[in-house]
Formats: sequence, C-alpha cells, structure tokens
Amino acid sequence: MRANKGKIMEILESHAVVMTSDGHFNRIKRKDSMRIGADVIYTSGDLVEKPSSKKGWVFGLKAQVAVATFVLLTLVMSQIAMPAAYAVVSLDINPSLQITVDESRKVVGIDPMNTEADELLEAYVLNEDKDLHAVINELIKLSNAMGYLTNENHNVILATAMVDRKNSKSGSDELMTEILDVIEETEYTFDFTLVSTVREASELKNAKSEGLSLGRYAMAKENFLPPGQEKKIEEPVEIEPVALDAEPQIEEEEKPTLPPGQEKKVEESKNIDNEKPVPPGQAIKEQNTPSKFVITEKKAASPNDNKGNGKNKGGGKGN
Amino acid sequence: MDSISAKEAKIDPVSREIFIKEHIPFVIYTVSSVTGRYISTENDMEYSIGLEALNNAIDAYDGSTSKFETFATTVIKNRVIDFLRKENRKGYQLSESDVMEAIMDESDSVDMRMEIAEFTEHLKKFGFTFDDLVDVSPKHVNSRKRAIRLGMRISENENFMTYIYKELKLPVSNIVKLFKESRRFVYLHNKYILSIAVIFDKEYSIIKEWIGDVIRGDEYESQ
Repeated sequence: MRANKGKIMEILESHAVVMTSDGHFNRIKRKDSMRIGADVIYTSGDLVEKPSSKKGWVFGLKAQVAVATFVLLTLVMSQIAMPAAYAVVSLDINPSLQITVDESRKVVGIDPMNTEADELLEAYVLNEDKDLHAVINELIKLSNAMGYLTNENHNVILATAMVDRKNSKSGSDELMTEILDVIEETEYTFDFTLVSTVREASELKNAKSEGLSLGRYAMAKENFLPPGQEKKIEEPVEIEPVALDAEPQIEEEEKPTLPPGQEKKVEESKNIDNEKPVPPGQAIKEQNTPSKFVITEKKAASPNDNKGNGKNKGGGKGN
Repeated sequence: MDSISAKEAKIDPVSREIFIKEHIPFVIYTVSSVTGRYISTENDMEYSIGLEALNNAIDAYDGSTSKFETFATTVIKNRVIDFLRKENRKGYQLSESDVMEAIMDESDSVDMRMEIAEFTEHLKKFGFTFDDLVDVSPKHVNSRKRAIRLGMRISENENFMTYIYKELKLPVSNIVKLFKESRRFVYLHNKYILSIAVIFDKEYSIIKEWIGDVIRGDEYESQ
C-alpha cells in the first residue's frame, strides 16, 4: 500500500479527482468534508479504479473483490462492445484512414493509418452518433480543404469495405453500394478517381499485422495500382502499397477523353458483384483492373449545377 | 510482504522505525476510515494519534491471536475514536493564534478554489474535465515530466496560445516541428499537455507551485 498526497480538483457524485504534486491525476473514494483545493493524503486503498500498487496489499480480500469486479465488468463491457464493430471501411486518399462502424452505420471510431491521417483527424471532430455517410463526405471534403485533394492533382480515392459477419460478402457489397451512392450524390469541387473494393475479414487481420489500411493491403496483395499511377510500374519501383502515398504529381497523360454522354458523375455503382463491374453511366478504365477493384471517375460539380437536383447526371468538369 | 516483521520491530529500535515507516499508508488508511474523511496534512491530529497507536500496537502484539495488521487496525481505530470523543466533549477553545492561522488557511484555500474553478471552466471549453484527465494523463513519471515541460514551453509561445484558445486544441504539427517532439507523444497526451499549457499561461500560481516539484527536479537533469 502506498500513500499519496493530492489536491482535490473535482468532486463528483461517486468519487473525487485529485492531482498529485508530480502531476498525476487519480480518482479516489468520496469521503466527508471534501473540499475543492484541499490537500488530502490517500492510499492506494482509496483509489476508485483498479489499484496501481503492486506492493503488498493489506486488505487482500477487498483487492480481490475489486479485481474480480473489474474483470467481470471488463468482460461484460466487452460483450456489450463487441457488436459495435460491425464493419470496417478504409479510405485511402492519402491520408489513409480506417473507419469502424456499427450495424446502424454509426461511426464508432476512426484510426489514422499514417501521419497525413493524423493531421487530417487533428482537424476533424467526430461527433457522437455520426453516420458513415456523413463522415466519409466530410473527410473527403476536409482532405480537399487541407490540400490533399486538389484539381491540380490526379486524385485517387480508394474505398474499401469489409463486414465482419457470416454473410459478410453481401453485407460488404451492400455497404459499398451505400458508400458509392453517397459519393455519387455529393457534389465535389475536384475530380477524382474512385477505386472501390470489398474485402474479407481475414484480410483485415493481415492488414493490421502489416500496419496498413485494409485498402492499401488489398492493393499490395494484388499488385494493383490505380489509374494514373500505372506508369510507375515501368520504373524500377517496387509495387508497394505506398503508391497512394505518392503525391499525385503524375501528369494525366492518356487520360481518356470521355464521350459527351459519359462525362457523368458517379452513378449507380452497385454492380460490384459482377465479373466486369461497370456501373452504368460511368467512365471506366479497365486496364490493370482485377475483378475485385472497381474504378469510377467522379467529376467536379459544375458551378452551374443546380444543387437541388439531387443526382448530378451529366455534370461535367467545372470548365 | 513486509521485510521486517512486527516481532522484529518489537525488539529492535531500528527495525521498529523501518516497520513504522512501511506502515504509514496503513495508518493513513485506517485513520481515514474511522474519521470518514481524508487526512489533510501530515500534522493532522488524528494521524499523529494513529501513528502513536501503531507504535503501541507493536509493543502489545504477541503474535498468537491474529495477523498484526488486524490487531493494529483495532488498536488504531479505538485510539482515534477515543480521541474524537474527548475532542467532542472538550469543545473547541481556540486561541487567538489558532484563529489567525485558520483565517490565513481559509484565504489560501479560497484562492486555491478560485483558481481551480477558473481552470475547470477552461477545461470545459476544451471539452473535458479533470475526471477525463485521469485516463489520459501520462502514467509514467518521466512522461509526465516531458509533457509538463512541453506544456510549459507551449505556454511561452504567444502564437500557440492564441491558436489554442481560438481553436480549442493544440497546434500539433507546429509543436512537433518547433519542439522536435514526437507526433505520437503529443497526440497521446494532447489533453494533458494542453491543460499544463493553460495552467502556465493563465498563471495559476498555486497549481503551478503544486506541480512545480516535477519541473524543478527536472532542471537538475541534463537539460
């Protein structure tokens, strides 16, 4: 048992928070005559949460009960928390992010997968109960605002979905369809190539062990490079998942001139199960496209576009 | 697992001293559980009574009936209860110097409370409380030193503080660049670092003084 001296900083219903003179904060039991600012001497036996002391414990039974309660609570909480992680969506812009959602598509967490994502998330506030659709859009728009997606670059966004359930394939497809729908319906001020893919749970584990987002892992695994970056293959560069990391300074050579009728924004990107998943109305590049990756060109909204129209069919590039 | 047993403490004065030192937290805990409040200073009367009772318990313990701690708990509790009863009967007869001391203490504690209240309000603006800081403050003393030192340096930078009060967050990238800190460290402890920066920027002198030991200790180190 150890004794500490702390200053009471906050008194709550069930406990108080003290700050020790070496800048540590502790939760201690509430007792009589507690006053904000008062110095108190307390022991590890007074800590509300799991005692940190590893020294001899006089009140062994209490400690055991506390530990047992803690373990039990942890188990119960983990049981409750488990269903929360229903699916993972990775968004590689670069920044590279991994979004965890629950079954109702509420975002339960966003993990930065590289330093650019750190910076992006620094500027992004994830509110409680925010749904995936809103988050994806906000992240894409924020990436634009922060200069990761600009009209000067050949922008590539890789969206990857994985549902961690028995019927994961159909679940993932459904989720990806929703994501594509959202992107389709949203007006952006910049062009980008959207590469979408659905993956399996086992791949997420491997991606994690490699320290990569699911999407970047999938790309590396299948030696896939998105349009505009294929040229790099000719150079003596290893096909690494960092392909998206490279600032897209590559000139947009051989960018296909789209027939007037096809200069459309993303439409109905729902056929990702097909062998040749070509969503109608989209300009599709098929070279170097393994079946699992679907490529969609999304054009910037024209300034003349009427926002009230909902879908942006026929919306060409700004100029 | 005590290195010295009560029996050894009973016969050897040096062992007794070590034994008592080792049992100070035990005394604090026991006294506090009797009074129902925390001991506020090392000069607390009840605490002194508890220490004295521990000393007596060492002499009285014969090792035949129970564990020393069980025995000592009873001795300490009875002694403190006796003391409290006496105090109640006696009532409070304060001398002039007691009154003056009490007034001084009270004014200090009012300042302290005001500082903490103001600090609490600031934290609220940033979207967290002291209770949140329990979970996010660095657990290791070296990390705390590092975070406190960083918070202090941030507070000295006017631009950073302007950004912090405006954007309600740390300018992580710039901090990383200017202070050559690891991004991971700043992210991991950003709330803690931010709190420290506010303490130093707002000149919360009593809180500053309170955590000053950490920094003062640090000054002796290489930097």
